[in-house]
Amino acid sequence: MSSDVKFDSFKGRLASHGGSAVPSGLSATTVKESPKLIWAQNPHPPAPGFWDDYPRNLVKKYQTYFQKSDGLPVHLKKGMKDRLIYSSTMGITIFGTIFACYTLYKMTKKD
Amino acid sequence: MTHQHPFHLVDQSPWPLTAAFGALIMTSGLVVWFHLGTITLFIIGMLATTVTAISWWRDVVREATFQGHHTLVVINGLRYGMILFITSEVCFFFAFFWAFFHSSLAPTVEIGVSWPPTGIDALNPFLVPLLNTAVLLSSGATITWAHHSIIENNRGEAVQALGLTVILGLYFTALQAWEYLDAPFTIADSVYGSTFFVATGFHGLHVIIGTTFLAVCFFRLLSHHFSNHHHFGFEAAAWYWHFVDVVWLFLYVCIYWWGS
Repeated sequence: MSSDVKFDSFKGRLASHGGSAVPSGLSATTVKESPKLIWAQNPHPPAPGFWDDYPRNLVKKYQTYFQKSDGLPVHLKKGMKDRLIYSSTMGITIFGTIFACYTLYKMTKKD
Repeated sequence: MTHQHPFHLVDQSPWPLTAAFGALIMTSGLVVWFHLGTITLFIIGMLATTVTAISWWRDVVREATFQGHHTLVVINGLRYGMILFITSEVCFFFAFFWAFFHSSLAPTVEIGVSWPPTGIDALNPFLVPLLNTAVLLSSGATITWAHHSIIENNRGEAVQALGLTVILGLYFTALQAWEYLDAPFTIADSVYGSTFFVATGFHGLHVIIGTTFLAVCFFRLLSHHFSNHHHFGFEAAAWYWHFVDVVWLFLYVCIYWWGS
């Protein structure tokens, strides 16, 4: 046992008195700190590319358009084009329902 | 318009009505087609149903991306809805597998007490079906690549990966169509033909639906509708695609491989 490391009878363990705290026969080691972890970050952020601006981002424009308070339900919000799709679908459905009822009724009659 | 709650109270819409009557017209049209051979009513029904589907989902995109109604609570509801929908689809395919195993595990005397039945020349599972397995598994990888690219804000790779997934879906459908044309048996060839074409046919239909869903996501991705933390439309499509992929693995192992 080196002279500067003595047994501390009060604490019940070896205690050093200045100088190296390493017991003889052992070499001093430095504790290596692991690098600081950074979470939630893309390790390879993509370089700005062709697709970032292509096609043009029109979301903001449409958000302004569809959020205006004109009292219209969402299916008619785009004006004439929407009204055309709505009325033609209703037209096809009403015509088809009548046509279906008529044909099914006719099929019940024997020739 | 201000809200004091996170829920989405939808506008009145004609689409539930036209969807219901469109389905009535379409099924009546099928009955008329089968009995009288005229296809007019069926086409009218298909038209009404298709326009309704496009318009309804167009409105959902408007509500989500342009009006901002899809809050976290609303998305949670959509998540539950999609999970329930896929569960019901699992039950649907479970019934077809039940029919297949019912017929194949104890083949009756009418089909020669053997499976495949006497006279049926089954498809070789290690030719086109194995290629189809590879195509679908690859598409599962590319869609995961697309998802990670969206999360990492890497638009270029997301476009590339999702485009590749749609192409793989189309390739699968083309291979399956070719296999159907080439098959030495038909849906009318005993219970083998019936179980084979009903199970693989409905799977093919689901691949077509899934490819359409992914194609819509592809155009929404191009139109900047998805952010790295708000892209449930894409996630729902990915869940559906994985479901279709898993069903194919069961079809391949049970019907194509074991069943041949």
